[in-house]
Amino acid sequence: MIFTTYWFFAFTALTLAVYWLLPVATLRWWFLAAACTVFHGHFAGPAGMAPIVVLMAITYIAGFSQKKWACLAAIILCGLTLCFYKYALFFIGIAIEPLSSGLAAQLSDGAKKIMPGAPPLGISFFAFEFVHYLFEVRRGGEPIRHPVKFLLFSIFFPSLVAGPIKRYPQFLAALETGSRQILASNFADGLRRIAIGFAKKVAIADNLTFLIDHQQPQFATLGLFDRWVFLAMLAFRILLDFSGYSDIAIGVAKLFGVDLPENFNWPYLARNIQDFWQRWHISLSSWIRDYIYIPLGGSRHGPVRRVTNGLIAFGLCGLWHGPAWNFVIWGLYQGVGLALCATYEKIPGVGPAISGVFKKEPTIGFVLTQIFVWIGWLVFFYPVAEALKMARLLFGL
Amino acid sequence: MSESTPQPTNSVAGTAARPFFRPWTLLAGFVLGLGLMCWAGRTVIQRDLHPKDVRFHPMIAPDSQYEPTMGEMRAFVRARCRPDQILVIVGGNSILLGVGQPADRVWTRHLQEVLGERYAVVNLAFRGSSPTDGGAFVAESLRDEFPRQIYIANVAALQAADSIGIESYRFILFDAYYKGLLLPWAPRDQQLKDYLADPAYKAARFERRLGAQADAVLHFRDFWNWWSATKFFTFATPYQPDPNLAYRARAKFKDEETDYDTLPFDQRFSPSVIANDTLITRAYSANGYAKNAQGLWQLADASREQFLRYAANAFPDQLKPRTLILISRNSPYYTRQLEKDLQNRDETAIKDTIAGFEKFGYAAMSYGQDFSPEDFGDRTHLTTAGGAKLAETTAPKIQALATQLGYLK
Repeated sequence: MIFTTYWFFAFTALTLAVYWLLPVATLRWWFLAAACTVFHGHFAGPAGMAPIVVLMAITYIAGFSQKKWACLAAIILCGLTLCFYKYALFFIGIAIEPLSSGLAAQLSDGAKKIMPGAPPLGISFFAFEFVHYLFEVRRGGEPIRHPVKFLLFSIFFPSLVAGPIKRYPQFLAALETGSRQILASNFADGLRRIAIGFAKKVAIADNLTFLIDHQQPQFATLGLFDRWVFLAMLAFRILLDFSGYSDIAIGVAKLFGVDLPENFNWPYLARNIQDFWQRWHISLSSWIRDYIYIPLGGSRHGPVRRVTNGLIAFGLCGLWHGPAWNFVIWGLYQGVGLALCATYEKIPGVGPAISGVFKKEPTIGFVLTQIFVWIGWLVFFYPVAEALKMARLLFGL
Repeated sequence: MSESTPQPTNSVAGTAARPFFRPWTLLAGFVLGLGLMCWAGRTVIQRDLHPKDVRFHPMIAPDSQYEPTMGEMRAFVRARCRPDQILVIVGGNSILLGVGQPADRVWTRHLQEVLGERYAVVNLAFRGSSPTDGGAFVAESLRDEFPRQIYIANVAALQAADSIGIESYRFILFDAYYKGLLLPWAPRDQQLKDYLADPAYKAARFERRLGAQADAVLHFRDFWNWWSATKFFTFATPYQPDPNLAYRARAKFKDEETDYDTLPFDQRFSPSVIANDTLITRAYSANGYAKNAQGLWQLADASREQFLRYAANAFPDQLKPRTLILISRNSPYYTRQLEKDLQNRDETAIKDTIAGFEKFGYAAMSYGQDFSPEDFGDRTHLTTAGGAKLAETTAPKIQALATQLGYLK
């Protein structure tokens, strides 16, 4: 975890001091851009930095030109780059392997020769932020003309590794306002968020990881109550790990006067799946909504299209988390949950009755939502067969 | 999926809400808190965190993700040695740690009894460590406070000992080095520089160095160890199989080192262990030896030079005369089965090792020649009886060394 390295601490402290010692905002932007480049170079290395720099340049030029075709081409390039670095081997495995294992092996070897050992650092976040930018510019939004500001939008170091996924109009507005004046309230808020983030991540989530790893092999021998406790630990581990990371990113950005979008809003208080996805990884779910679900047609073409679009969007959302089947299935599971949530009221006879119960007793909706979401984490973390077995055991089956 | 308006940013942070603390108060609290914790780290580590322990057993050692700090080990020594006593620090590996001997019968206790009140024996050995690891750095760092000191460690014949120790215990070197506790020693400085510059690990090692440099000022590891030893351990350890005990304060764990005496002799050796240890025993002196024209075993020049280079660089020159290197032998259970020729080769290697160390001013001796198979719990570790024999063999050498160094005047 980059945020728990001494390098990160030293870098942040030094960058922060120089940033606020500079007399004017313009100089701060230039300095921060240079510092972010150093940060990216340090953690990504030249091999990880090169594809991002190329994508960044192409995105900037395409946006600057404001040509729709150029933006579209750049969007496609971003998608292809992400697919190549993160999913090439997975796609070869599922699409080519069943047809010809020899060809699949050849393609895998070829891909491995071109690819660095690991996908470029933060490639998923870069690709999504660039696609958002190009999409908005193509739709008529004002491009970022100032190259330093574009650089800062691209590689702003607090959000570089694990988001939140930024939106450029909000980011630029926050940068321009926040970088002009040092505020004690920003420092206090930032430090508070950082402290909360570290407590969530290091003190709680990492220890839950130990307990989970310790108990998982014996899951079948645990009592029913302990199995549910295990599931709760799994659910809180991912929440506290990821939201802790987001808190640190948001807190560090705040020290520089920049507000990053929130990523979590008490998701385990959600009363239905739709509510959950408005509270969980908000920057990703809103991105999926704006740049996949709505462009596919959203809910505008009847219930069948609505459900299909939701499943596609969430299948991709799952895949975004990693090149493996369990992530895809987790995404589809969430998509099915959302489809049910959005349509059950229209089922003749039963729908309104169920809806009435949920309205009268909101706790029932809350409990069912959490059970659905928490069981979903089994698929997220474990191979599908193992997850199904564990899910059965949760109900004593 | 909802198509409602995107969530406004900062909906959670609650910046609009009235803060519980005023910003300046909170900032001052952060600064004051950090300052207090640094001060606490410096202060609390000056007391002995392990008053009941005779050694760094696995629950207060890296075996269980507990990394003792220099401050902690220095306090451990200070609590066990009066200024008027001659300090005997025992470093080295699990053999000198006393693996196989329970805490109340560990060999260093017997050594203390044999040496008497004039000496204070402190066991700072760790499993798998080299002569130049933890105990060595602690002894070196206390050279002015306890100028009458003897440092003991063990090696196998011709075993290399890097001046920067081994990877598992390098955190102790970093701690000592960046707190400025060590003597300037050019070979060590160069070796550390090369270690840090290794392109394959440059980023990770730079990170480690940065941590040690920050800790030298902030003392957060001292504070954390005090907390972990006396309050509760802050990170679960896979070493402790019972999750209910994973967070328990480390000082509450007893020294439960294996007691080989509880194992009948014929149960100490399983066929697979015998097979493996026989191979190791046969290879004890295999590297670099060949027979010369007279049919005697002779070490190749390259191997000799390499060993001498290690011996020359392992310790700063001024510390070599107070350093006693013990050359460990394998159990006679195994060595008696060797051909006479191989036994001769082992003896030659041991003599060469002693001569090599003595050439540079160290004191060196071997032990175990007259030990019986029952004195060993396995190929190398000693039983209580073996430990007592080690103490009795070593004590005269320590006393002679103390006299030679003028400690008894």
